[in-house]
Amino acid sequence: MRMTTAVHDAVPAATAPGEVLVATSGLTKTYGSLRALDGASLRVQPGCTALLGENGAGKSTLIKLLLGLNAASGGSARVLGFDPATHGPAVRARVGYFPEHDCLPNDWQAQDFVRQMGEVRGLPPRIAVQRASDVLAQVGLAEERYRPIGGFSTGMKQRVKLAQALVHDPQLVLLDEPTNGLDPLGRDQMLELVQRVVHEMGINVLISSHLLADVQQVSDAVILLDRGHVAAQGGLRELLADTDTLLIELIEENPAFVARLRAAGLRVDGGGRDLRVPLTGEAVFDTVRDAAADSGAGLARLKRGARSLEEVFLSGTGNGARTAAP
Amino acid sequence: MTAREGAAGARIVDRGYQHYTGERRGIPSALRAIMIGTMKRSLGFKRPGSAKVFPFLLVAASFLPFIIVTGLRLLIGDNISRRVAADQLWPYWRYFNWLGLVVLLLAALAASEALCPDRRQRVLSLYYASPVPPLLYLLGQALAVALVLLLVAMLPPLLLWVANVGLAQNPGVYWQAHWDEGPRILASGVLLALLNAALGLAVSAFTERKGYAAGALIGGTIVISIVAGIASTVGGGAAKYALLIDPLLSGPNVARWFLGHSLDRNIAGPAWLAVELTTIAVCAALVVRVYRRLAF
Repeated sequence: MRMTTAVHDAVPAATAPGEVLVATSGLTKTYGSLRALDGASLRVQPGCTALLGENGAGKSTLIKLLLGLNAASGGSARVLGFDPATHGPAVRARVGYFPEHDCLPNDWQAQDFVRQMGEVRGLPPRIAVQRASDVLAQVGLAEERYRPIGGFSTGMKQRVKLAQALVHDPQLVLLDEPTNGLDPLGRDQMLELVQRVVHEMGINVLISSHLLADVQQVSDAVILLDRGHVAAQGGLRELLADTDTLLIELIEENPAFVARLRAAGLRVDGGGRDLRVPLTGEAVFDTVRDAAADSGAGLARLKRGARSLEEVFLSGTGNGARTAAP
Repeated sequence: MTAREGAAGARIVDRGYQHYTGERRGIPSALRAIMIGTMKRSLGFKRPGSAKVFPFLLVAASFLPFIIVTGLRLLIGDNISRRVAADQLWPYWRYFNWLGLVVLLLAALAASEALCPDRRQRVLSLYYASPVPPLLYLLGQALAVALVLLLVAMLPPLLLWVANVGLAQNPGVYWQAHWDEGPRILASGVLLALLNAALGLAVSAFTERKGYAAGALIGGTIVISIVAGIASTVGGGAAKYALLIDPLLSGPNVARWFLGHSLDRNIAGPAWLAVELTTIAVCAALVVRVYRRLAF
């Protein structure tokens, strides 16, 4: 790859699998007395990572700091191997950005606008024209690309926003609430597109959202922000795993089995074929096995319990009264 | 989508998403993209038909004297020079009087188109999220407006001068006597374009609406012009210097000074030039100040 300026030559970027795309340490941003981000330390690895938090949790502030558009009040950050505070243009040349708010010129044709964004981010003019057509086709706007954006539906506008974020083939795309304002069908289509971006196009995504269902549908990892703090982070599977509960699925209902478990001192929740017992240690498995043998119960499945993302969110924010939208 | 044709005529029409591994250009290329985009749109290209009308009329108006004078000379030849010298049918200084108004009107269109929609529709956030630093974005827009205005502020009188040289009875002799008019026209045109670009951008920096910006520039200029005219007339002595603040007179008077013609109320040429340069500098500083305060 031939790159012609310091924007592209500065430092080799980190893109190999397993490497960290974004790392922050004690990142802080204050606006007067308000601490919008308060000592956030996080890591984003290749794939799709969700930035989950309520409105005002600090998601947009974090994105601006990662793009190098605002100066941090404290702490440090690295994005694709660059410090955004000192190498903002180099970061922005390699990152695509999808803002939460409207940001499209109404009287431009989609093709012209996406081409313009491609050129502004370093593509040669002829390549920008070709890639604008390609990415608009990838987001499902091949036929409409020569129409003025002002005549587009909300869903189509969101697709144009995604196309402009992808046109320069970034290594990482920051999507800020991409399903905002979409109806259920449009939302599903946008989430499918996000999954395509990650799995078919091979572009890493950091998606900011306050919608738990969106996050659960598309992301491999989650960073939970709460009032400027990182309340929890990790792979989605690990966060949702609940090692404190054992799920028991019976082939058919068996009251004798339940009675034997209770006789063995286990608390049994649920009913019918689906039961839950506290998983206090490996001995619980032996107790379940013996109870099944003694009662003649047929075990269809034994599985460690999993929490919903909402439970993770509520426990992470430390306030069950405050809830994110489902 | 590219297609590859095989030996049996089979074609792959969709290769899916392709990563880009070719050349990536830097800030100058991005700046060029911003400039060209704004220049095109200021002149009505890539926009609805109604947006093309005024720019076209203004560009046509700027070339009208050149077309008329050159056309007359081509059609009638030297017969018209019995009463007046052929190259004085429309002297350059008078051309700049005409262009002063045309350039102002085009500045109202071009500057508002350059700055207002990007802020109103929040496209600015995408430019700021690109490798282009905010002040370079502003520079790109300013250069685009200045170049559009140069098209009407400099090119028509320059072409008239070229035509005067080319159509002279003895072009070589005429060139020797008049070669210095070219650079003077060039300098006059550049300053006129810069003045109006600076004024237009300064006004447009304060509003997100194109109509308000264009109206404020044209209306404000008319008001200032009237006030300056009245003040210079009713006052005595030094009151004539009130004319210096009239943007409609500033550019043309600098041109007249450069071209060796008498100036309004005998105010010295350097005074007109100083006011013009100061206005450009103050307007540029104002625009930068406004954009530095814009939140992302």
